[in-house]
Amino acid sequence: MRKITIDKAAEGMVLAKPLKKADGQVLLGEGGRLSPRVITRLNEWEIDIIFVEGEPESPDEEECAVGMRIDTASLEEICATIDQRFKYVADHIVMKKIIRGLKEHFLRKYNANVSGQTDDQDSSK
Amino acid sequence: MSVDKQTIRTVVSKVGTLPTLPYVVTKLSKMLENPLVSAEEVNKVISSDQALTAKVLKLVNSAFYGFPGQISTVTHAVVILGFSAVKSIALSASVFDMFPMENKSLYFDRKKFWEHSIGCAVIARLLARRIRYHDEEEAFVCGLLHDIGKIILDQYLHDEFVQILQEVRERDVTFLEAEQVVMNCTHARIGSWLGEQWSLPAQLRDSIAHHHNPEQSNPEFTLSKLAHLADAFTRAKGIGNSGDDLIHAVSREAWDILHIADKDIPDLFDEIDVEIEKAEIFFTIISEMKSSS
Ligand SMILES: [Fe+2]
Ligand SMILES: [Fe+2]
Repeated sequence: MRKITIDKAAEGMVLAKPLKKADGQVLLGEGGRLSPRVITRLNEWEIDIIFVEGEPESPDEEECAVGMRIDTASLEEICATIDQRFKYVADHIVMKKIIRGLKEHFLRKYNANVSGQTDDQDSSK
Repeated sequence: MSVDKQTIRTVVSKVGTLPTLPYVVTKLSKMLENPLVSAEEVNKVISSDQALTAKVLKLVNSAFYGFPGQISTVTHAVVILGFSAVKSIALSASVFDMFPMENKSLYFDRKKFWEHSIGCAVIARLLARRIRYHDEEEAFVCGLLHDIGKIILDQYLHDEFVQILQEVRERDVTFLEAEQVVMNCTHARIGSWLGEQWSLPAQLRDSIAHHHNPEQSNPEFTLSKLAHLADAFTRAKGIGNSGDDLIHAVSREAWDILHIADKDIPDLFDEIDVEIEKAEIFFTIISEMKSSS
């Protein structure tokens, strides 16, 4: 999967993650193909970054679920990234505690984020 | 041990001349040895460098130091934050300029490297406060510099560096393991050697040398343990990247200084988020520095 800025978006690219507006509305699902029409509208939808199929061409394009990009990652992706990072030390007594604490922390953040989004939607109604 | 000495000698001879710390920072370090130095004297030294003064003032006025927008002069900063803090801030403000931001390697992004270092610095400072370590700003500098050996590798031992990164990707090992395979020497060793060249304080050099094996550092030194823990937390949170994204097992000795109950670990990560947010100014400085792209 490549994480690219929209200036690199090209016709025919296949989405590796759904295209979502800031309010969470899905514009084009995973597996969808970018058409010229969609590309020209990315700006207007205020989308800066998209995820498409293919091998990253630079470290910038590597996806980073953990970290500050919680808004674009699902809970499964977050946990998978954590497990990948800790894979060699997952049985270590201290690391087990850290992994548990870290997942709990992300779960909280994720829940806060999700409820924040629904709050926004509620207030706009 | 002797093999290591031999290797470091080879490395040193290949590197040749290293970047030197700015005169102002060296001078400040010397001044710190004198407990009677005045805020006015510190001001005089820093003010001799206009660019540095501007940066220091920008930093001390950020949310990170607790007095946003309230400090108008260096003298004022020394009075409010203390001499040691201002010295650390001056060092932090200059270190990004000492190495170019342009990437030399495809799989080593210098901005991400500095993000990792800043993340570590911020977290080391937070942990220092938590365990009531006497000098939080020293902990910050220690986090900022702990992996500085990697930049030296990228800059001066580029062929070895590329091989190490290749090893990391192909065999899915940590940077530390890869460098031992490729050159039988580590970035920690190289970094501490740079610390000697820069005449950094002994404990800071020790923390750079032993941030991956704090149990082997001087038992009286706490900094290496703080750097070690901060490195693990930075990686856990995925802040920046310093050549690999795997996590090492945390040393028991280091973990024990935290005295943290299991149920409080998620809160610690929450606190880390808050601190990182306050430290935004540092990430902004990095992102605004010009790079090849
Ligand atoms: Fe390191
Ligand atoms: Fe590190």
